[in-house]
This record gives sequence, structure tokens and C-alpha cells, in this order.
Amino acid sequence: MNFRLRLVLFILCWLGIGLHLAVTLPTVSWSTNITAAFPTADHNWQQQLLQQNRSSRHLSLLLTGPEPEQLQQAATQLQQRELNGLQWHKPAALLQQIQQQYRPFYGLVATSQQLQQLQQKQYQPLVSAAWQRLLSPAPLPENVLQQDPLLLTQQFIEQLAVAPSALTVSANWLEGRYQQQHLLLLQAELDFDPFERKQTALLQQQLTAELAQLQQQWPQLTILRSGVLFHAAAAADSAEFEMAFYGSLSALAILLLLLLSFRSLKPLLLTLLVLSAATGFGLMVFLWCYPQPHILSLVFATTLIGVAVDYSFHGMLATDKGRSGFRKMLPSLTLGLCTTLLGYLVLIGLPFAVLNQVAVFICSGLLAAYLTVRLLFPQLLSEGQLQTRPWLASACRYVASHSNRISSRGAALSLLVLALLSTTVLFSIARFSDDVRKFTQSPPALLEQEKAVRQQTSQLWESRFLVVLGNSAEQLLQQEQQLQPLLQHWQQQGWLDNWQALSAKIPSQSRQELTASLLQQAYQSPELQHYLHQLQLNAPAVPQQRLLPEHLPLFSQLHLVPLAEQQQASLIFLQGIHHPAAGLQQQLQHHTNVYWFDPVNDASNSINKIRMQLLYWVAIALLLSGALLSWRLGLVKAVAVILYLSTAVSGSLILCQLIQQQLNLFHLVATLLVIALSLDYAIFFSSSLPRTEVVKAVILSALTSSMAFGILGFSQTPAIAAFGLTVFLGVMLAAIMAPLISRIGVKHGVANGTC
Amino acid sequence: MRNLLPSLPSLLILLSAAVSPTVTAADILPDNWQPFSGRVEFRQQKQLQGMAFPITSSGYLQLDNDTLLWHTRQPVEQQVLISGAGVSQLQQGQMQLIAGTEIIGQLMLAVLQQNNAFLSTYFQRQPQGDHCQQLTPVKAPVDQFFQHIELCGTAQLEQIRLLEKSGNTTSIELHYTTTTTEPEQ
Repeated sequence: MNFRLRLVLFILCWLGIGLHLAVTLPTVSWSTNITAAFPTADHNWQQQLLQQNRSSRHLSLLLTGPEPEQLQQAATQLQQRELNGLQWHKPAALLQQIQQQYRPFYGLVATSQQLQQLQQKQYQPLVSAAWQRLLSPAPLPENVLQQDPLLLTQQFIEQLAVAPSALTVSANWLEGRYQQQHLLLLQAELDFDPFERKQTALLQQQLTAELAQLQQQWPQLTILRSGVLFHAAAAADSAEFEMAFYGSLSALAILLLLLLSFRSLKPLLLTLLVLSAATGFGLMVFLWCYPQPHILSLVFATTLIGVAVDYSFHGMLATDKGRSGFRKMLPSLTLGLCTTLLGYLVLIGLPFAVLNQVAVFICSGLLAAYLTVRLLFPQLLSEGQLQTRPWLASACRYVASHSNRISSRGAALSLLVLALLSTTVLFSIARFSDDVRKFTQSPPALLEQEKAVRQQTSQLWESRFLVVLGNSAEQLLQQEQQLQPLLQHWQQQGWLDNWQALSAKIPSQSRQELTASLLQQAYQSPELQHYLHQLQLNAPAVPQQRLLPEHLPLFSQLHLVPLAEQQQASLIFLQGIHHPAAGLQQQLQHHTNVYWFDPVNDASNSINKIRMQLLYWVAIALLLSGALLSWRLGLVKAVAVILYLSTAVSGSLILCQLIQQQLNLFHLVATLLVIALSLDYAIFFSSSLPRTEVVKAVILSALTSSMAFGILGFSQTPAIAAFGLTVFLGVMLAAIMAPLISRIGVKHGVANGTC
Repeated sequence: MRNLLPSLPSLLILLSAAVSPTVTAADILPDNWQPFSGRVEFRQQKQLQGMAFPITSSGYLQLDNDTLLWHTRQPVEQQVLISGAGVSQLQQGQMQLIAGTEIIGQLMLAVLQQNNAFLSTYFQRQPQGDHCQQLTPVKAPVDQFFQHIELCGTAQLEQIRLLEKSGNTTSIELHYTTTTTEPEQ
């Protein structure tokens, strides 16, 4: 294929990609869900539960400060505003609605204590309780006595709603006091997923404006926010800012470096060509593979600029030496691409969505960069056209001449000692943490507000649950009922403060039938006959209909989650766990299909497994590189490169441990990239290319990579900061040590490859 | 993941909601009525929808420190405790709160203690004849339970009539005695 055709094809592809992205990008639904970003759970049902979790749609606003009347005015004003996709809760109406929904089933539902009394034929306490309720001034629903003379279901409903709290039900909010201060809690539900960026951003903007207006109107007013919406919006804002900021900063720094290194604009234009091809193609493939990509992936993907620019440098410097120079460089560039792709492809195999997405983006981007250099550079740049600035030329000459003074033996010994020392130190000081909560960081002010809302409203529900799996709602309810004595035992032991299960609100059909039949027996007893006679009532017939979860959608939506293959899960919420989880889990073993579900801990465990897996991959990557290199460069040089790579990896991890106090999965992920980039340097230093040109390419490459990754080290997201810092340190160490590779196997005094 | 479940659905919060009183100042009851404290005999007639006759009970009320003991002697002996937190009844030797009765507890105390501030927050007053005041709820949650309540008396509150939204009616007559009796425990 001649050059003109290649150029036309390239321009057509370039325009096509640009057009495609211009159409596609505005419609992309970016995921900001941090749950989706982290490793998938061990079991399918866990993943499905996490995906269908609707609690992320709830939000609370806690108003404190001024007098109660002013709080109520502020709340009323806010609720009257039109806010995108936000439905305010009406607590009083909700309670009444629940009561209404139970109405057709009076006489079928009773508390476990009442059921026990019916089974033991202890009718007198039931009659006394009914009289007590009947004669108390508390209102009763209409016709309840005829349906359920003992008021069993009425008392069941009343007990259901009792729990220690400091909140009062009002029509449109909950009110209470905390430390002598009046508080008002507004609750709402979103009719969209808070991880949908556009909707969330719009609502967040509206809410911020409304709340600011309220605070202006009532300066004493304090508004505390709680809910996933606020965290999702903050995470998305931060990711978007970092992506734009770090991406632009990397590009700017690289362009500045090019201007400072070369006298003409051509290198700058060629680099822009490579970068645009790499970014455009990478983004296109990325969006093809992932229709709902994670925004965090794009932040990681900004590092493509730092890697792709290397190809441009190698291409330009080699082309400057003529066609033969370019041809001579090509095997090293191809080998470098292969090793880098190998490093990133490892990430595609991991069950970690963000890393998979990053790998796809970078692999396709690098392929495009490589093809651009290979197909276009020899024609776009003529021999000797690249005019290096004097500072760069003299720096390269200095490094090349000084590295030539090192003997082969000295280089080998240095690499051996450095590798042994760094790996020993690393193994003795490395402390890994797999705690998934440390990978992301919500703004501290938001976390404080979240904590304060939970504390002041006494809502200390755990993010750990019990999950019951079954094929039907009835099966779930029966299994839950069998579990209830154990939960009560935990409460009695002080291991658990409180729990909420669906079966405590909707008894299984078999239990409803039992209650109804026991009641029919009870109505024939002398105690009940006397009671019915006093009230001039007849014993009611057994209701025909049974109470099912669908009759109480508020409860079933809260507890029941439909799973794949007609399976269902019911969630039991836990409050105040004061016993080691392992001990509680052990007691659950006797209950089939009942599982302890701790999403945070499970994700951390998954991270631990991935980290162990990745450790093997790093070792395998090193061995594979060694094998590949021993075939291309010989055994001695291959061993030297392995020692060199080990030193770069260990050294960067040691420094990260010292700077960041702890290592995590992302440090390890970064080491794969360190290996890939360092291997490039080693390959070029092992080649027969002119030494000063290699030094020049490696200096420019290391500087650009350091800039791209070093900037990420300042990210507010700990995972990204860990990744950026590791690559930055690794690349710097690798670039400093790279000249040692060129001395391996060279007789003392021979200026290897110097031009 | 930290953000996964920062708060459980608000239904749980709602289900665990109890009470604390809300008050504002404005007079709704006649100035000449003496606030009640100590002990008073009562006779209650509760007419439930669908029942042929009212359920009649009698006993005494003992009001001490914002807690009202509702002691029924006829037709059965029993005690109910009323406070700002709601109505509690004796179950297995322990007083247990009836959920959703917070406002009833507050209302009963406000009526007996003649807490004008509370009453004016939730009701609109309309005089009925010379000795009665009809209070119509203007605010949730009271308006969800009651159609209206009627308070009658000359120098003191003597009769309370509660007309529930469900159609049930409760009439409580209070009989003040000059002798004071030690409160029963």
C-alpha cells in the first residue's frame, strides 16, 4: 500500500472516529456507581442484590437550629418547590396506608406471643388485653371488633410500629429533639437511579440552590444531608474534574516538553497526531465494549497519553536517522508494544470492572498509536529534520558517555545487589490493606453529615444483613419464621439490638391458617364465649383471603428482592451488632438458605483474592518477560532485565509504603504498568540503536510518563493516587537504572552503540 | 462501597418513630376553667361502629407529672398509662406502648391540663352553646383520627366527647370529688 493511500485511509478513519464520537459521546450514560466499579461478588445473588438495592434512592435532610415553627416553615417551603424526580414522604399518611392494607386480614395475623397463648389455650390474658385496648381512649378502626373480637391483628400492627426512637410522626416529616435542640427530618425518594449522572447533577443543583435560599432566609438553620445522591454527585463531580484537569495538565506538560526539546513544530504536530489517534480509537473501542462505562475508568485512562507519547518519541527519533534507522527501531517498538499489551491484558482477566475498562481503552489506544507511528512516520518526517535543542542533546551525550564507564561486571553486580536489597526490604516492610472503603473518599464534610443524621435520628442500621433465599415468597416467610427464635436469642444475649424481617410483618400463609384455626377453637372456650356475650358479638368466620406480600407493597419492596431463575431473596435488617460476625455466622449454619451478607466486607475479601491473583500475575509477567528476552537477547541479559524490573517494582512499592503508609491492590496494578514501561526501556537499551538516541527517547519517554502518572498521585481518590504514585516512582527508578542494562555483556572500555 | 448503604429506607425510620410534644401559644379553652390535677372519677361510653350498644366503663383518672393513670374498675379492672409518648397498656407485667397513639396521649394530657398552646396548634375552636367548645382538627396527624372533639364544663372540664373519623364515638364524663385520695400504685 503506498503512502498516499495509507494517508487517505488514516484521515478517513480519523474523521470517522471523530464523527462517531461526536454523535455517541453526548448520549453515553456514564456510571458513577462506586459499587459497580469494584469487584463482583462471589455469588450471583449477591451481585443481583447489590444491583437491585433501592435504598440508594432514599435521601434525608435534617433541619435544626431555629424554633420549631421556623423549622416547619422552612420544611414547608422546601416541599412546595418543584424538584427534579424527588418525591417527599408523607409519614402520617404512610402509617395510615399500612393500617388500611391490613384491614381485610384481621383475625389472620397475630404476634408470636398471642399465637403461643392460643396454642396453650391461655385465653384469659388475651381477653384482658382486648378489654384493655377496647377501653383505652386510643381510637380503633371501624368494624374491627366484628372481624377480630380479640383485636389480635390490631395489637399486632400497634406492636409492629413500636421501637425506641426520638421522632414523632407528623404529616409531612418526622420531628424530635436531640441534645435539647428541636430537629425536623425530611425524607424523600428519587424516581431515578442516583448514579445516573445527568438527573443527579440537575437535582443536586436545584437542591443546593433551594437549601442555600433557606439558609439565607433563616441564618440559624443547619441542614444536614444524608443519602447516596449526595455521595454519587460528589464522586462524579470529582471524577469529572480530575479527568479534565489531569488529562489537560498531562497533555500541556507533554506539549511543553516537546517545545523545550525540539526546535521545530513538527514533533509537536506528529505527537498530537499520535495522541489523537490513540485517544479517539481507544475511546471508540471502549464505548463499543462498555455501553455504560464507569467514570473512574476514564480517570485511569488519562495515563494513555503518557504511554502513547513514547511511541511518538521512538518513531520520531528513529525516523530522524533515516529509513534504515526506523526499520532498525521497529522490532524494539513492536516488542515494547507486545509487553505493554501483555501487562494490560492481564487486567482484562480480573473480575474488576474498572480495571477491565481501563485495559480495553489503553490496549486499543496503544495499538492505534503504534499503527500511526509505523504507517505514517517514515513519510511524514524526513531524515535529519528533527532538530534537538542543545540542552537535550548534551544531557543525552552526558548520560550515554557516563554509562559507558560502568563495567559489565559492575552493572551486573549493581543490579543483583539492588534487586536483592529492594525485594528483602519490600517483604519486610510491605503492609497491604484490602479495605474497599479506603479506595474512595467522599468529602469529609458529607461523611460527617451522614454520621450526624444517623446519630441524631437514632437510625443506626447496619450495612450487614441476613439474606434468606427461596423459590417463592411463602418459602421465604416460612424460613424466616424458623429463624426468628435465633434472632430473639441474639437479642436476649445482647448480641443484637434490633432486627426487621418481612415475616415479622407478614406471617406465612401456613401461620395465618394456624392462627385462624386456633382462633376458631378459642371462640368456643368459656372465656371467649363470656367475652363475646358481654359485647353481644358472634364469633366471626375465617377470612377467605390470605395476606400476601403483594398486599403490603411498602414492606415487600423493602425486604423482597427478585433474583434470576425465579429465585427470590428476603433481606433481614440488623441494628446494633455487638458480637463477632464469625460467631453469629456459625450459628446460621443450621439454617439452610440463610446467609450472612456484608457487602463491604465481601468486596474487601474479593479485593484480597484479586490481589493474591495479581501477585501471581506479576510473577508470571516477570517470568514471561524473562523467557521472551532470553530468546531475543540471551540468558545473561534476560536475567539482568529481570533483576532490573524487580528493583524498579520493589523500589516503587517501598517508596509508596513509606509515603502512603499502606499498600493496596492499586499499587500492585500499577506495578504491571511499571513492568511494561521499564521493559520498553530495557529493550531499547539492549538494542543496537545509537546510544544517545536511546537515551534521548528514554529520557523523553520517562519524563512524559512521570508527568502523566505523577499528576495522578495528587488525585483526591486514594485508589487513583496510589496508582499514579507507584507508576511515577517506578518509571523514574527504571529510567535511572536503564543504562545499566546496556552495559551487561559488554567488555570493559567498549562504548556500546555510541554514535 | 461506603456509599452503598449509608441509610436504610426511611420506612424503618418511620416504623421506629415515637413522640415528643409540639407546642405553640394561643388560647383555645375558656379562661375560667381550672386546670385539672390529682384524681377524678370518670365514666366512659364508647360507641363502636356496627355495635348495637355502647361499651360503658368507669374508674378514675390520676394525673401526676405529665402522666395520666387511667384506671378502669368496671366492667373489668385494668390500668392504662397515658403520657406524651402515647398510651401504654399492661402486658405480661410490663407497660407496653400502643404505637400510633402518641398524639392521643398528648391530646388527652393537653385537654386535662388545659394546654392551650398544644390545642391551638392542632385545632380550631367553635363555641357550642354556653358550656361547650367544639374543637375541629386543622392539622395532621390529629385530623386523620378525629372528626372533632367536644369539651364541656362550667367551672371545670366535665365532659369530653371524641368523634373519630371511623365513626366511633367516645364520651368521657368527669366527676370531681372534694375528698382527695392517695394515688394507687
